[in-house]
Amino acid sequence: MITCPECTAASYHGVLFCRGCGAPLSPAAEAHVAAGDRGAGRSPAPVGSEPVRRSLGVKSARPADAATDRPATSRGTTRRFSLEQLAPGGVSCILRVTIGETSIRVPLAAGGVVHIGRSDPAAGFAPEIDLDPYDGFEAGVSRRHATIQSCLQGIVVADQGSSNGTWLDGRRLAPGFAYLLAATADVKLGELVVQVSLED
Amino acid sequence: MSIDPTDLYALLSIGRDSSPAEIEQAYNGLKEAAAIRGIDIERDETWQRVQYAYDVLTNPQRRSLYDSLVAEKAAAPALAFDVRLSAERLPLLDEPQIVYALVTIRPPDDGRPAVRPLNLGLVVDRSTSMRGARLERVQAAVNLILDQLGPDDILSLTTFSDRAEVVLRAATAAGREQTDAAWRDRLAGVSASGGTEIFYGLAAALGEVRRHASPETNSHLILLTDGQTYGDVPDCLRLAEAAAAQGISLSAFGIGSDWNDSFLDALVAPSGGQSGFIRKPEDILVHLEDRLRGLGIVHAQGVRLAQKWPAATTLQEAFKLAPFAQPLATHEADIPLGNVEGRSPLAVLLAFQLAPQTVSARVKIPLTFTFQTPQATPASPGRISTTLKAETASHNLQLLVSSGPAGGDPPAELIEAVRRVNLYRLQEQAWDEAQAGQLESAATRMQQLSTRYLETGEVDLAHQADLEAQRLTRMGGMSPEGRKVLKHGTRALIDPGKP
Repeated sequence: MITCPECTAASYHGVLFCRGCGAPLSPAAEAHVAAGDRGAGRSPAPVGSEPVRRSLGVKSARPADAATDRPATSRGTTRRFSLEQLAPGGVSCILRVTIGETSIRVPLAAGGVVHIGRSDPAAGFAPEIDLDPYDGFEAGVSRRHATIQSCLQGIVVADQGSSNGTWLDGRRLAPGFAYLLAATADVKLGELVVQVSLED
Repeated sequence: MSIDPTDLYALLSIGRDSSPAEIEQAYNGLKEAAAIRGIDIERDETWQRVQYAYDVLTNPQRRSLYDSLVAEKAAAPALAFDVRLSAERLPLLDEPQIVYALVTIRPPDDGRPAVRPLNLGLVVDRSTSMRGARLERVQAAVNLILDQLGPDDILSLTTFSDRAEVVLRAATAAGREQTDAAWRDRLAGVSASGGTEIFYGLAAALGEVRRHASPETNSHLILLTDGQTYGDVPDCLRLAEAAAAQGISLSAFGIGSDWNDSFLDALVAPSGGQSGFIRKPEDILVHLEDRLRGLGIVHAQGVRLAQKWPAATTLQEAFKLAPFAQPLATHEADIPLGNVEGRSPLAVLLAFQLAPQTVSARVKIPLTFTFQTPQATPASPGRISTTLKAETASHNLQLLVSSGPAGGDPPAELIEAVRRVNLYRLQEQAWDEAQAGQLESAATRMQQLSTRYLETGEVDLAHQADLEAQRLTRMGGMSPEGRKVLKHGTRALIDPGKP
């Protein structure tokens, strides 16, 4: 069974949209909703799921337009970009990653990339955020699981084709998309939940 | 192997590329064999066919005409089928899983179906609530329809309140007992009073359509009502089933907010017809004209999908997406899909549930469609008669259930169709919950729906869902109007080409 990330209703494998709340359940369905691909003759779709009443106040400002001026780090909204859209640039910051009782701090340069996964000495691969010491293998973390990247759009997280998926604040990340990180966010890698905070 | 008696080459046991000498040789051989067996070649029927084949194929002009006719027939399948799956390769699972199929049935590109005259029955509610703009708009619409009918098209008009009255008897323009002006006077004389009893109106109107129902006509009944019918629902449904069995399809439109939408859905289901919502009287004409456009050309009628699923496979959902969005009746052995009409395809979304599968296997789900296509055949000099040809088309959905990698992503149009049909199911579910008194979950679902509509860019529907969610919380119920706006608004979303 698949558990809906939004309403926790259970669905059979293969179901594309939750029968309880309409949320996309498969990565393909989520990418479809995110990409705003809704067939010919349709108005562009808003991104994310803002409460309705707020958006309805101003009818001319379609949510799709409103999304572009949304503050980059406001909590509760999910902005997505396709990987090709990401532009070089951005700011540098320190990522503070909290796993249970432990915290590690990793610098992220402007335009730089930080890898999350498990180290693989045989292949000479060592991610900056190595979850091997935190039972990453048992929790289903892939060696190359996800990345956090600084780009013109902001600080974004993207799944790297992991076996068991990546979630941002309860939403599964669709492959091929980078999701804007809020100042503080819960990132779930396989079964392992870590908290990521951005520090100057 | 039996010989097709209409295949002239097969009758002579020769190939299509045979030379005149080969035809001659084959013919002489058959003639000798017939003589040996003592067949009377002047009287024997089989021999007469052989003789006919020889005559046609030895005349270059007749042979090339025959060849071109055969080629045309072979190149034009009655309908083109396209099936897309959400996945062709499925994982091994110890729990059930779902696979979706988007089936599109198109008329052939060069399809020129036999165009048949329309045999249209209109049955109109004239109960007290129709008084004023509603009835006036209906009368204006019927007047305009009269102008648009061809010389061979048949129209009848029946009105009903507590009882039924055939206002205009079924006839072509030429066959009417009265002049056109007298017809229009009768139409203008219809006034509104009394209650709503659909059965009598429906029965009388069907009687009119039946008088001209044959393979030669395209028979259809359109019901317009604005009220609930009491006590006669089962009788009405029986009538609709009998009509469908006779090749008469039904459409039904509700005006305003007080009609029974699930009744109208059930009424059109046996013939795969359309049920719709006319919110304002001024939209009556738009809806009627749209329906008539579809009825103008019918490539295939009475398309049905046979429910013969393999073991461990069940059909979980069937929803018609085009030419109009309509939930389908799945309780019978065959699912009525309606007609392939106009220039638009007939599209259906199916969802199958597969039982847990722990051993690699190929699963074949047969889709067998039966339908009838109108065929024009010369009957006597100067006269073409139309017959209905019963046809069957089969397609197998091929699935591989294995431990190997899963298939690629589903096609975007399939995902979008699932998404929109799911929106429809969600609003139905919220309504059912509200009816059952589960107000809290109904309100929560409505609120979630509102967000989903917004994601789809449907601000008006989002607003309506939001209003209904508040109404559920504050007043403990949904408005009948809001119910219909959401239900039929979501259907329009599934099929964006509709008014």
